[in-house]
Amino acid sequence: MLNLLTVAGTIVSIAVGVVAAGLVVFAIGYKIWCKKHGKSGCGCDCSSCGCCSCHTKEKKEEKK
Amino acid sequence: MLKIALAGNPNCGKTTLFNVLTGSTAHVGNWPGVTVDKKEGIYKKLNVPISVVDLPGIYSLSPYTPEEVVSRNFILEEKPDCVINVIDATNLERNLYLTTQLMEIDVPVVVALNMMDAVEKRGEKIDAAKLEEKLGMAVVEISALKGQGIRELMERAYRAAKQKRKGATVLTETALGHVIDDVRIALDGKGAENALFHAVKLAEGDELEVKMHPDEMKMVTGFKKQAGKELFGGDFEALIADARYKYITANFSAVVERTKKAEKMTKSEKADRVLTHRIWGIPIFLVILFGLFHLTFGEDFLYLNTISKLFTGGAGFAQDVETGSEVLNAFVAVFYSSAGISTPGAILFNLTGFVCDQIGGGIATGLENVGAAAWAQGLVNDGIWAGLSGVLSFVPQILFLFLLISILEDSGYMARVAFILDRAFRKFGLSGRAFIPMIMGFGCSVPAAINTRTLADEKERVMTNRVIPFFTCGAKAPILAAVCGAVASQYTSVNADLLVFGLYVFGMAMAVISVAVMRQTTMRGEAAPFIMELPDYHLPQFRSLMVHLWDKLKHYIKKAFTIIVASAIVIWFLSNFNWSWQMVGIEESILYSIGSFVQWVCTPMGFGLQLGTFGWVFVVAAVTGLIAKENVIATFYVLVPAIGAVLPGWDDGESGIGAVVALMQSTGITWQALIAFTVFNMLTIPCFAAAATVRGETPKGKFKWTVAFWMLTSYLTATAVYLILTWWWTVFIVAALAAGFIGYVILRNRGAIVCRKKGKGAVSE
Repeated sequence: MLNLLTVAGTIVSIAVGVVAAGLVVFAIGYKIWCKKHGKSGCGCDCSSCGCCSCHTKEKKEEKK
Repeated sequence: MLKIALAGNPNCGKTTLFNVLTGSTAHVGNWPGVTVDKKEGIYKKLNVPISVVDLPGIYSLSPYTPEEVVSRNFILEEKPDCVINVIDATNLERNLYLTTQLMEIDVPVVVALNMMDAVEKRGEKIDAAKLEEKLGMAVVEISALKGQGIRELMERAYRAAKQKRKGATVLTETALGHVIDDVRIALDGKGAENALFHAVKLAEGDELEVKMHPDEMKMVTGFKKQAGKELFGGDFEALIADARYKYITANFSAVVERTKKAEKMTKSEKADRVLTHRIWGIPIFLVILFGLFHLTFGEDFLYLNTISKLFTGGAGFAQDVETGSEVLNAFVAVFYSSAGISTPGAILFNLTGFVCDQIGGGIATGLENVGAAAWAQGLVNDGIWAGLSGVLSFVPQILFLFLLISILEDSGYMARVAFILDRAFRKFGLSGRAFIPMIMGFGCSVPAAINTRTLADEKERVMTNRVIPFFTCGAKAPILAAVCGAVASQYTSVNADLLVFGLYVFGMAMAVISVAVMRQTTMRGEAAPFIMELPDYHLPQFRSLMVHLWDKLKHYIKKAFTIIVASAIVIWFLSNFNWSWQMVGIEESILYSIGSFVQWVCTPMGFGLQLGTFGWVFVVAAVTGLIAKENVIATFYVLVPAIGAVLPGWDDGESGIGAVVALMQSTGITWQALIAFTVFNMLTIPCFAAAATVRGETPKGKFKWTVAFWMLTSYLTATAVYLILTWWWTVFIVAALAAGFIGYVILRNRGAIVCRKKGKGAVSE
């Protein structure tokens, strides 16, 4: 019984570690993906904000 | 695929129509200038799918602001197959001004008479068939809000898109008719597209056209010389505008049938006599704003308990309920406590806190029972869950605040706020138009910064972008709620709602002061003229309100499960591990060493060296807030157990703001320093997303100064707030310094002090 608990505890601990690392990687990856695809690159979801188009190449060129 | 563009005056219902056509949930607001960029969607209810493009509102095809350029360029350059000219039928004649310009372009145009339900309500009638006959273009009566007439509109637009159309003008009979025709023939000869449109714009002296067609412009200049000053003093643009309005009045007035009912003062006009009153307008606005904060953050609904204290010798009717069960006590405290009956916002907050507490307890017990390692338990309980629940517990309360703000926006009141504030703040160099993006800043600084495109004056645009973060956004609201709630719980004489309201107003006041200072120093100039059409008041649409809330909820959830969880994990890791990657106590951790190193910087603001060992917690929270402002509270929650502080339990009814209370008790931070900390976070560099957007919206080279402005303003203001709240007499020193600065600026502007540049340095005389 005790062994079973130890095994379960180890599995849960490893899972927690993997999920935590996964969450951090996902958050960073998601941000990069959003920026690359021009989808809510700023992290703001407001439909009208047009943030996706704010940092496009065209905009940067326009400023230059 | 056929492409149909929606064009029309601001606030005529284009985006509402776009949402109905495409099933989108684009932001709709009852004020002019909500849409600043084009949006595309697909209409699928005909046999073939049709691409629909929603364009920013324009009054004419001579653009003055960046978002107006978007509309003009789209129609002229991207050549839609048909333009649906959306018209606010309650203001037919004014809206037809744009129609007379659109009809000059070689594109099929269908006129959508929107808001016909409102026209009927007013007791007016519009003869659409007669209008169609006079315009020579299809006219369809619709109500985008109620979804009426939509299919017919799209069918007629589809049919129109299949045919070619040559532009026509209402200016043929005017004094400029001949020259316009000559220029059109010359342009036609060169094979130019939309020759008539360009000819009219050349006659107006449109800057863009003059650059594009210098040869043809010579014909207009020659005619101008011939005509001398007799024709409108040589101002052809004014002459053409006058001719268009005269034509509209002469030809289209007859299509509107007004009854006696319509001639009476409308409900909106009656309401405006009070709400936009010269004297009472601003006090009424402040009372409404306070009402919002009371309903969201107050713990004593309508101050019933406070009022009862006046009649019962200070006891009040409210008392803590003792049921004998800890969970039941906590549940009852959600609705009722010794402070009084909870307000709706407080109930939502308490309820979420209660649920979060139960879930957190369940997770902790589960991990312990399963025998998970201590670090795994710590990571889940004190890292991931602490960070998540810290933010999520505030979400329903903040959403409730947004619901109230959305009601004000959709009702049309927010447009009035810009109007009444314009009258008060024009003398400080700020126009009411700039208040629209600022008010949007209460929701999120990102769309607010983008909305500054509607400002024609570049200086005003830069200044507005700089002060938008001072309008506390939804992400900063949890900081205010937590800090004010914690202060109120520790000092019974303080009301959380009053404190939150005070801080919101303080942010607005700082925006006005900052603009006034910039107007006298780096951004000199007059406030741009402010002309805004006040929309009619109407009852907010349930669907529209829910769309607003859904957008906000999605935003919070997405942020919570990405950037906030990730930050919480990183902070937990940094506060539990040392540079050798070994799990250690907080005092040997990476975060401790970094935090302690920079802690002194915050000493003038009250949360630096004076706090001793764990004062750096606040510095770290402020830094993590740069990623997302919600991180400030998440960081508090993660660091409370790390520094050995204890969160008050739900039986104290304080769990939601418990992290701040725990930090007050363990670090010894004073309430004055906490308020200074909040002020610093309100005024400093906004989150990375907002900062990046501001960078995109400001001219090249201005952004570095904007960052410097945010840092300096927040640091100095938070220091002043801490000093004044701690030692009241320092108010005289701060006032003297401010007076000195104002005096210097006044004298410099009058020429009494001259700044001369010598080489790289500057010398004052």
